[in-house]
Parts: sequence; structure tokens; C-alpha cells
Amino acid sequence: MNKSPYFAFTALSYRILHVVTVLAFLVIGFLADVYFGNVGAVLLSASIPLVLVFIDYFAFAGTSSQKQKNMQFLKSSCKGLGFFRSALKTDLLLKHFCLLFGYLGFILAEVIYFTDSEAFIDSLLVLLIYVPISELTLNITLILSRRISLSMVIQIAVCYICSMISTILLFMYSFLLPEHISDFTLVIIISFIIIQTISIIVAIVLYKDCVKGYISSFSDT
Amino acid sequence: MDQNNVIEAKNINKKYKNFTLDIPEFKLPLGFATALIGENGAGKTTLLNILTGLRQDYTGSINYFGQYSEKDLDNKPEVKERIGYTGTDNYYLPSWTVGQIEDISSLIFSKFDNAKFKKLCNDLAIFGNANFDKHKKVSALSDGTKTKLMLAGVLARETDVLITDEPASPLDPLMRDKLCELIREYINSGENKSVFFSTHNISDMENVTDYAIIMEQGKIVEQGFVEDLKEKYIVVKGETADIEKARPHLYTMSQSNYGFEGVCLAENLDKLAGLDIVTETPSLFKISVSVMKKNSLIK
Repeated sequence: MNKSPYFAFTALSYRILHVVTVLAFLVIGFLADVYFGNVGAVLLSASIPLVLVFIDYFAFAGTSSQKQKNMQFLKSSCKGLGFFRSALKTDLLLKHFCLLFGYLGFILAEVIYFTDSEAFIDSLLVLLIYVPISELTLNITLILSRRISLSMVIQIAVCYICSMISTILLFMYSFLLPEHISDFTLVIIISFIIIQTISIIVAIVLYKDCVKGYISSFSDT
Repeated sequence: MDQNNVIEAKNINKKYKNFTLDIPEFKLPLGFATALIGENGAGKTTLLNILTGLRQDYTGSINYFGQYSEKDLDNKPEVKERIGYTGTDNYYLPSWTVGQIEDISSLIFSKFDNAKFKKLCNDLAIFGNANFDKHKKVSALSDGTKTKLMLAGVLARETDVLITDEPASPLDPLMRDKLCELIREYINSGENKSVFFSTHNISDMENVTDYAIIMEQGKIVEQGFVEDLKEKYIVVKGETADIEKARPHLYTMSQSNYGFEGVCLAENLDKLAGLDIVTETPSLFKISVSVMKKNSLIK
């Protein structure tokens, strides 16, 4: 067995890294908002996907490298494949929670140290819209990248970078509209419901294809 | 679907940058040991990975056991339960112990026989002189022993078809002989058991091979029961003086100080009439090498 140059991937180490990231960003988001204000915190929060890219790179690079055939054992069994899919589903959820908690630090700081309700509602709404959009981006990117046979690590990197760009754009957009918060709220809530519905449908319909993309990438890389 | 085939595939196509696997029709005969032969890069592993469902990025259709499609491989657990598979490299994690492999195999396969696994481990001398050691780590085993462990793992399952990629390569001659014995035992262990293995060790595996499929550059270039192939091809030996006359009719030819030796189609033997030649039945090795040479890019 060729040793991976990356540290050993285990489900536990992977989850510990995620939890550490969540907590770190909760604290950093909080402090950034207190000391640097909204813009600093927003940019910092938007960089969470970059950190997750590195975690995934170290976690999956060993598993998906050409010299590691361990996935074949799981793939040769339906139950093993089931475990893999279940783990993948959990990981996707975990990533969303990581992103969510990163923003929570920012929101907590807004609640405790600032009384600017408009800014708070703004950030909360942006957070609400961010989650389904990132989910949509994640799924669509996975499908598109499967079509052009990218490796798993690249797929994940691409979808995080897309998420990051969409986050920054959304925040920028939200800062432009603080004056008409009530109309904005209405529009945002309707948009949220529509996007959430679309993202759930896309996730349900295309999830299997995403998994196939992940699985094939193990043998493609 | 022909009831005499365990797996049938149609129009299998997988494109790489400089290589295309293109198999219009594939049939794996039921109840026999089938060898998949071909030079490096011929597409053997890709074909095996497609048939076992490890690769899903191909076009074409596959029928398993006369009743399941390729989509059922993932959707119906009973299909994969009936297929045993081992790959070219060790697929157990190096940090696993033999005991953990047993536990994990029991967890992910329904019909895994723990007692049979232990017996196979002992029979194949995986622990040398010692008895079954569940604490032994995979990383502490040699390459050949890891292959033996994978074989023990897959043979401990109750399956109907065993698909194995290059099982003989890392094994010593004695173990290759034992492998032939295990394959024969597997086929004889029940009705409708079939084995499909790829190999470069044609001579060592010949005595267990019933049916042979020869691949070159992503295509099946020859296939048939070994006995039929041995009637289809014939080895011809002759004098140096007849080399040029014989050459056009031979598949392949090798020359020495004493004359030539080559393989030709038995139906073309009359074209060599008048030459001072001796004929003999070819081995599967000679047939395979001749067919591969005929179709190979190697000059």
C-alpha cells in the first residue's frame, strides 16, 4: 500500500476538523464584527469555504488518489455504497452547518454589541437566502463537474469557490438596500421560499447523480 | 438474454483521451472459468470495473443473471450480493486488522461466512505457521499475502460469480497452483457458479481456464472455449528454407538457427502443403500471444 502524503483520513478526524472550524469561525466572526465592523466580518465569513476546501483537500486527497483502491471494497457492495452515500449526505449537511455557524458569530455580535436592527435583519435575511443558494450551487456544480470528469477534490474546490463568490455578491447587494427594509423583507422572504423549493427539488432529483459523480471521481482520479 | 450466460453486455463504450473501450457484444458463459487476456492497456481492468459496477461513466447495457440490468447493481442489493470481486491492488485499508476486515465484511455483505473466512486464512497460510490472528494488521502483510487475504475475503462470501482482476500476478507459483484449485472448487461448489479473471500468467492459469477472451486496444479480438481455440489454431514448425513460403500464412513466426515456429489457423494448413513442416496442438499461451501480436501496436 502506497502511503498517502496527506494525513490519514478517518471519519473522526474529518469531523473533528469540521467542528474545530465551526467553533473557530463562530469566535472569529464574532470578534471580527466587534472590532472591524460589518464589512470585515462579512469578508471573513465569506472566506469560510476556503478553509473547508483545505480540510476536504487533506481529507479526500488520500482517499481519491490514484494509488488508493480502498473505495473499491465499498463500491463492490450495495451496503457499502449505502454507507458511503449516507456519509456523503451527512458531510453535505455538516458543511452547511459549518457555514451557518460561521455567520452566527457575526449575527451574535450584531445582537449583543449593536442595536442597529436594520443591519441585523439584513444580515439574518442574507443568511437565510445564502443557505439555499449555496446548496443549489453545490449540487449544480457537482453535476456540471461530473460531466467534465473533474477529480473529487477539484469538484469540491470549485463548488466552494462558487459559494464564496455568491456569498460576497449577496452581501454586497444587501448593503445597498438598507433603506426599504420592509419591502426588502417581503421580497427576500418570497425569494427565499422560491429558491428553497427549487434547491430542494434539485437536490432530490439530482442527488443520485451527484453521488455518482463523487463515486466515479474516485476511479477517475 | 441467453440462459447459458451469467452476464451479457451490449454496446459497451468508454472513451479516454487516447483510448476507447468498444465492445459491441460481451457474454460470460455460465458455469465456467473464463480468462480475460490482453496486453497492458488493452482495457481489461476497465471492462471488469464496468461489469462490477465500479465504473459508471460508460454507455451501453448490461444484463446480470438473465434478470437484472446495470441499474439494478445499485438499486437491488441482491445483485451485488451474488457478485464477488477483487481488484489489482489491495483494497483493505492498511490500518485495518484481519479481525476488522472480518467484521466489516460481515457488515457490508449479507452472506459472509466467518468460519469459512478463518478456514481460508489458515489454509492459505496467511499467518505463516501461526493460527488465525485477528490482530494482524494489513500493513504488516506482504503484497502476495494481501492478495491471499482478499481472495479469502471474497471466497468466504456466498456468490454466484467471481470476478477477479489479475489475482495471479502477486502470487508465487505454488499459490498460483492453489488459486487454480480454489477456482475449480468454487465452480464445483454449486450449480451455475462462474469465474471471470484477467491474467497475464496464461501458462499458470491455463489448466483452470475453460473459456478465453482476448482483448487488444479496447476490443475483443478473439474468444471461445479453450478446446475450440486449440482446434482453430495450430502450431507449425519447419525448416529455415521454408520460412518465406510459410510466413504469409502464419499468424506469428519466430525464427531460430534450426528453423521456424509459428501459429496459423488450422483452416489455412492446406496452404502450407508441400512444405516440410511438423504440427502440434498449441497451448492457450501460444494462441494468446499470437492473437495479441497480430493485433498489437508493439512491433
